[in-house]
Amino acid sequence: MSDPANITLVTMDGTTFTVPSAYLHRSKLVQDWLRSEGDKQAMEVKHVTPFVLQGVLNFCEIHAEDTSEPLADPADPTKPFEADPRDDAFRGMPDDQLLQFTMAADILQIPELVRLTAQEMASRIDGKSPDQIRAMFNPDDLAEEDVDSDNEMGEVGEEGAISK
Amino acid sequence: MEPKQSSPSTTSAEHGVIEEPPILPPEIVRQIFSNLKGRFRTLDLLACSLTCTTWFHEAFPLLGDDLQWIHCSVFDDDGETITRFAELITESHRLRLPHCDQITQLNISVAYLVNRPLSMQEDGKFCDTSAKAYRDIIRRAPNLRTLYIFTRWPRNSFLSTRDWDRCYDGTKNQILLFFESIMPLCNSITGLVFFCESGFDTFISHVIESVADRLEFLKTRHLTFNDATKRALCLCHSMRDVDIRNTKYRDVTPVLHCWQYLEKFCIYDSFSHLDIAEADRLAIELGTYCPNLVEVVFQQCNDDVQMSSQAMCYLLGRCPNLTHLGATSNQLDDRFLRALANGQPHLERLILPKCIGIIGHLVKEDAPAWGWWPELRQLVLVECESVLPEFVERLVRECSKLKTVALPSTLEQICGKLLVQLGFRLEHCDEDFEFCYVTDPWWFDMMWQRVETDNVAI
Repeated sequence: MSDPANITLVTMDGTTFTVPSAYLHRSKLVQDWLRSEGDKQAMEVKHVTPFVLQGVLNFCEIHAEDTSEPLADPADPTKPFEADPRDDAFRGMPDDQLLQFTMAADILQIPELVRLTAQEMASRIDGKSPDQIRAMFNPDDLAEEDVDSDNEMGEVGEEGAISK
Repeated sequence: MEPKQSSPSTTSAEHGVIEEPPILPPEIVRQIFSNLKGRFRTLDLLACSLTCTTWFHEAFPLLGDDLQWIHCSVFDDDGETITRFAELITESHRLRLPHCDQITQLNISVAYLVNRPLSMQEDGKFCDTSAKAYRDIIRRAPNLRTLYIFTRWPRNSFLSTRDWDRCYDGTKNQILLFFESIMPLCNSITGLVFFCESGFDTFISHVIESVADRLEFLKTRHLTFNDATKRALCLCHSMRDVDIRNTKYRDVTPVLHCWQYLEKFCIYDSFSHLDIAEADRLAIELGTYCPNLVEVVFQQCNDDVQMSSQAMCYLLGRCPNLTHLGATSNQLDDRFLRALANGQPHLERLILPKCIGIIGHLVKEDAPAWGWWPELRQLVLVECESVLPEFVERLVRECSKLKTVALPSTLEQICGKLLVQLGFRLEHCDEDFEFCYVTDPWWFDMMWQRVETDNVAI
């Protein structure tokens, strides 16, 4: 039986983090796990690296004593996003790390962190080309069959004439 | 909170832990898109929709009708935005995605076709990049219906009007060539909108002429109808909807005989000091050649005379299907009102500000066979100081579909009590009204509006 005051999380490579359960009161995943499987020794969080989990837990620790009501939905329009200087670390991090933190926030179901990282991702998309966005966030590729390898319309010259 | 490398007895959380390598799930993608809120949100969404299949499926529905209106929402700074838009549309076309089909309107601004000079010694140079961007969009937008053309040079505060005009002397010819090059690509265009400044009259006639056989919609602001423009407009036999502002009545009258299918006609003359014959000519030509009219709006900026009751009666007799009539004329009297009551049963909007000759004596007569305008929903009699309260009261009682009423100040108190009884409240004007009318000079911002729609005439 694990200590109910603490929770141990295990990352993809077996690294463990033991933190006060109260830190993770905004994580729906953890809260559900505590209710259903709290007697187990540790909770495994697949696809989350130690570095990222450390960052997530830092976020949780910083906000552990926030008195605001936990967000039910990161898109809740009644609770507009307000930048918090304590979260500046997320604004300066590289794109690939930001993507991993977004994924981790989603896996752990922490709406406040999802909203923070999504907001940051949106600000980085501003003014970018599709190629730049792909390079930043590596979304799944467009299906090959969607892509027309050649421009069927031909090119229109400066004088408006159509040439193949 | 130091990490430890160990292998404790673990359980894999069943709730929400994904087993596959991480790809942003749709709900997170949606969350990201909901945070795109800058001035270029539409272009950013468009870019996102071109990155991958998942992002396309999430972003495309959010674009909605935005691509139709992108021309007026984002292109208000410089040519870089139009270049970005063109690149994105080109990419969408290469991927055979449906964005191009959504574009129905495009704003071509001369300000983006020239580079703004940085000093008085420089000339504004023609910008090939923007020109190419416009061409790229036009040839990839099969449903492009309306071209908005803004002929205004980019300005700098250090240049006087004469100076900035001179800066672009060398560029004008290239602008004209540009428009000549794009018009053959505009095969689906049926609408033209011109926001003009002087110096561009020569190419405007060419633009109109090139789409004349299919032009149905024309909107102009500050356009001089020179002889070439009039000749081009006379070729537009399919014209249905015309909205002309800041052009002289007398310049428009000569082309009306060619617009026999015209359904909507709106004109605002902010320049002329009209004589009554000139105003009447416009009304009579409309009545003679445009019998299909359903909307007619005459507006003028000053207090000069406008068309007479006789000319308006002729127009009403020739065009029996009007649903919307707007006029400001101190010449209109009860003869006009009687013709309107007896000949226009479909009228929905009657806007007659400053018609000081209207009294409404006919209220003492029998109502027309179909009653008092059974379809009327908007009545504006602002500054019609002679109108009888009995006339207004009878209309608001008997026109059961009436939703908005604006009265002369002299009747506000007299008729106000009845309007309140009938379910009207003083509210700000609706957008529909503001869209159709120039706000000056008889503008008002409050109208009686019926808030209890079930409360019909008593």
